[in-house]
Amino acid sequence: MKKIIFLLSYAVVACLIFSVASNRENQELKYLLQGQYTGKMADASTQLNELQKAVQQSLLFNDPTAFHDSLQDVWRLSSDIRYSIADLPLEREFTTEWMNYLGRLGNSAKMTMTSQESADKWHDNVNQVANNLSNFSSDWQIATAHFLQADDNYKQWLEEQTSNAETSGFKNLSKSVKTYAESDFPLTASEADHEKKKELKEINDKVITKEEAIARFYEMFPELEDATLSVNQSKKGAPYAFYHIAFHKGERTGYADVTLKGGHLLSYLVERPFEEKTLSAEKLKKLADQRLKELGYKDVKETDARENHNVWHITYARVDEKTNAKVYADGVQVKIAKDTGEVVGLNGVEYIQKEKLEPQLMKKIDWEKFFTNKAKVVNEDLAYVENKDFVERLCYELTVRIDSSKIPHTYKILVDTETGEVIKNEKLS
Amino acid sequence: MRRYKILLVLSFSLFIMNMAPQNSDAFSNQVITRGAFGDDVIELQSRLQYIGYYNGTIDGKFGYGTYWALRNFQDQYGLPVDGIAGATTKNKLASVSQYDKAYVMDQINKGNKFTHYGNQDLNKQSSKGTGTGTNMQVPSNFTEQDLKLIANAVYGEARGEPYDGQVAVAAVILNRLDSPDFPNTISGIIFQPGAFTAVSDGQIWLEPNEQAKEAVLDAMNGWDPSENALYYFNPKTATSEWIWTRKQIKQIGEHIFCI
Repeated sequence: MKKIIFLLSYAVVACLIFSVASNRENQELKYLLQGQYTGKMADASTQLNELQKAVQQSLLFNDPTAFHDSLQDVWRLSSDIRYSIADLPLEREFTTEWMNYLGRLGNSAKMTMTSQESADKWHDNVNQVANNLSNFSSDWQIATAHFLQADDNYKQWLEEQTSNAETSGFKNLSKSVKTYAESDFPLTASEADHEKKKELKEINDKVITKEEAIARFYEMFPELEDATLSVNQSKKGAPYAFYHIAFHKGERTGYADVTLKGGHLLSYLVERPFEEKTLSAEKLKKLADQRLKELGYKDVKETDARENHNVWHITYARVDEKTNAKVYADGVQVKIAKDTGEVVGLNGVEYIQKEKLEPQLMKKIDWEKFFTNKAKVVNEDLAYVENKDFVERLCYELTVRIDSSKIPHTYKILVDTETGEVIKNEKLS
Repeated sequence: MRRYKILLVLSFSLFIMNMAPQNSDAFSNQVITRGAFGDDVIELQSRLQYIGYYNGTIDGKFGYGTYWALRNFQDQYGLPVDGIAGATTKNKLASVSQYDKAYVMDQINKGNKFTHYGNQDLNKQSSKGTGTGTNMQVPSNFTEQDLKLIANAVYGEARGEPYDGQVAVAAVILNRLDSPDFPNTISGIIFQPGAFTAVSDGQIWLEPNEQAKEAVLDAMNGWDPSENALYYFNPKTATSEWIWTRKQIKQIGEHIFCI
């Protein structure tokens, strides 16, 4: 009996010690996390005050250097606050709206700095931005007051703020920030066009029925005849309506999404086991080209190809008839199996709504003057790419090699044919 | 007369066999071009490095570094300069270089940093590296680190989901990267507080399987079965009321994808 009592007492004491130790550890972790969040919140508050000042100061100067410096402060601070906000557990709607606003403010400052937007436009807009930031700053102080007070209700307050509850101070903030973003930085025409392309807004083809979608599926993929299909229409919130066709045939399972308007193929993907044998890259590329032509992609050109264990991923871009330039935004991606050459994936969403291309001047550029003597242009082509304002620009597409070290480095550089601006500079691996 | 005929046929056959292009004993029969990946490329890089033409990493990925090295080799040896390793180039390369397959593959499997130069002691050419990579070729705007990180998130969030559901989860992360409403780095998006359940419950640290990595690779190459979604949730387990206010696009497996 004594032994049992001793063992039981021993077990109870051990449990107590363990419980106290765990509690202390949890408490320490809680304080550590609270400390980090509080620090980030304090940073965001300080940076917000500085941002307010920087925006107001940008109204002071005509002097180009001083004006440039204040814009640089706006750009830097808006980026810093974005980083601080991203690390905080705040209400999600508020976080996304506030990050969007800060991104637009920073972009506007940067574009004014680089003369892509006029100083007059900045000055016209900045009064309103300064007022909105000032209002926001007051609301922000109220909403975040608890963060800087390590009281016992901290956990409860945090839960309230992140739960989208009506009592959350951030709930009102997200509403006001959304209004500020719409009024201070409305979408430009090019941004709106960019959104329209993404949401396939300009397809005006006839709406097809579910049966027609299935017929279209079999027409595109005759090898899947007799497959078991499950067809669903997209939900109401989809940016564009489509049919989701899930299929199963033998070892193959996958899906194809086709648009409701016109039955255009959005994307197609098959999952199946692969064999060890491999067809040559040349043969696979020929098969992919042939399959694309059968599916109606007759004006595309290969732009890149990468081999992996079982498949090659090959990318194509539409070629503009007038300029013979590649239009990267109207791309098609193909996934082809190495064992049989079967196309096991196709992504055609970008190809459906073609980019509108404007005529553009082509000025001759002397590449020897444009680049340093270490750089060598090894290939020159033409391509359309989107600039920072979401406008498609015709560019000289250059492959440039630098031999300054033991390992040569290769870059793809796209230079606007009219303005000479470098729109894209990508290091190729 | 009959003997002469037999001799003539044999001599002609030998002549034909001699004239016909021979495949290298070393490489496989495949023509190796830019974009290729695998053991043939490892051998190509190793042999080019052995004779001093290639100074980059031996990783089995035929990128521009290998391409320029091969062109230089072809130029020096009077071969057609096209940056493609066909039978003639491979035979020439095999005849002027050596390839210690066991050494090279051992270093790659151990994830070591190493070189394979002909005039140096192999023991001095290897040092401990950072471990094995993903053994996958990602598009040039992504890194292997990106692939690993997203694959961890996909495996932690959607390992029981169908393949297209896993691609869709990876696509959501990449869609956030393009959206001004989210952090502009992949790590920033994944570790944003409260953004992914797998981060909160620690499942993000599970080792992802090959399927999760393949799914991420497809998403990086442009596939988006979610059709532009920025969020997803499991309607059976979601506790947030806010997520139900988002516009829904489609359901794949247990996840509803929305914007």
